Amino acid sequence: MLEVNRTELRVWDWGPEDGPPIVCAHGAYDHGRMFDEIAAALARDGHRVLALDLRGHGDSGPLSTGHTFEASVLDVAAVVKSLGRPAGLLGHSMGAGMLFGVAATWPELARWVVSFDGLGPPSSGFGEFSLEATAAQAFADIAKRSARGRRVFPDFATLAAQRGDINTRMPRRWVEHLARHGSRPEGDGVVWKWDPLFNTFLPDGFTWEWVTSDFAAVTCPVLVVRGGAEDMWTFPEAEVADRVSHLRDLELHTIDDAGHYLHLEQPDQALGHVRAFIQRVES
Amino acid sequence: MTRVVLLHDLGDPGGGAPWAEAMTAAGVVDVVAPDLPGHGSADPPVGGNYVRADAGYLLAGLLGDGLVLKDAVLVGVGHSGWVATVAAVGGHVGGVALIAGLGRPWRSVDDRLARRRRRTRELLADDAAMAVHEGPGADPRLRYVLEPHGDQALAIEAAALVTVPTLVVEPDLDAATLEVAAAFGGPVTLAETDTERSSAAREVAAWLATAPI
Repeated sequence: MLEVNRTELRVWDWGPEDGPPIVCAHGAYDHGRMFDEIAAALARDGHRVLALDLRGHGDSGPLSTGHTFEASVLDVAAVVKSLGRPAGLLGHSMGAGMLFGVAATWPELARWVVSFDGLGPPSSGFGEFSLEATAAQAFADIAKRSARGRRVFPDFATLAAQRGDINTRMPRRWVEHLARHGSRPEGDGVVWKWDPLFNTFLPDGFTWEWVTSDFAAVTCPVLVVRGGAEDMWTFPEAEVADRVSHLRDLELHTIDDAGHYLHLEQPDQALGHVRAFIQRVES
Repeated sequence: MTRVVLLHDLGDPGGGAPWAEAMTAAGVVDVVAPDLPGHGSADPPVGGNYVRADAGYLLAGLLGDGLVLKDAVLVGVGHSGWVATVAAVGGHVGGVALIAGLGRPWRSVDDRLARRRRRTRELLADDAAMAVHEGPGADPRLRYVLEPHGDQALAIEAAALVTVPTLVVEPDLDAATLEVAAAFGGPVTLAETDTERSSAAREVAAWLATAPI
């Protein structure tokens, strides 16, 4: 556990202590153990790989409000600062978005950014957002979830099945891996470790322009690897082109037979792109 | 007598008590002015981070505990003006008063994000503000609270959905701010005055005397 920015973060650590550091950030509702295979592989290449449980996730500290994006960006920056040298930043989904925020805010901390399907929510998601409906429900949802706490599943199999039903493309062994390390016993059952408050929010005007504004401020090399298959985060090609057009030093790959969790579905392809990118930008 | 629930500004270390005193001095009888986490005498926020949503989560807790606002006025100061606006959009309040709470100064997305990045850089460089604050005195991290949302289009969208009586107190009713004020979906009263507690409290008291809450 690392005490940083007024919270505790669980940091999963691979590779030689003096190796060039890589810091990994997971997506919403996940945890650092999603990088177990890719981190071990990069550690074998001589890197020191640190995969965080972001605040409100895994074994890290709890939240006071819902999505605390800025706090997590600051957490990651504080972790990199504590290393005393800039790091490569590798993230999935929301975690990649946070790493873009780190690179945009502290260029001196980022050697490069790798984004696994982390271009922000598609604009169609914003289009469905209704301020009126959200405002009507938000306070009651927050109060209810705060009072109710975590949902208790009767057993691990039921909890893992819930995840498998949501992420239908995810290989079974990864569903179980993420569920095993992302849950803990509570009472007579099992609960997810992620903070129930993470599942709440108040409308705040977040739009895709926030995402691209950070992209435009990133100066280091960026690798974006997308899943090309139909999945929860599938983007129209034109929208992908628009998003990445804001990144000035970009390498883009699409893995056709993978969805949002491309690094779990096609780890060899994802790792191959990362290794080639690192070799190119660090040679 | 109309109940007033007041959410003070994020980053105002005194919390709700000075506002309650100002409201009482202005003649408002029934005032509830809780402290946001880390302000006044309230415990610091879990995880030590201050965000605009703190006031919303505080309000959600009060509503969950049975506070009824349907016949009350919710006052939002500064950042908390957005939370008060959201509560009004959601149909939770009988009226709303926004004290420097519309979200200004209005800025472009790029400008807002650039300023946020600058502020966050300064915070990371300040060891005292990054460390856990044990007291005494105000938390040094409160110096790094971000600006109000600054999104004029969002303010207009939200205002159009507010149909309850609304008081807008702003230090400068410039054209852009008047455009937001004109968008409110219900009766709106404008007051251009300094937003010191005593001045703002007098405006609220005067408005309460005539507003159809």
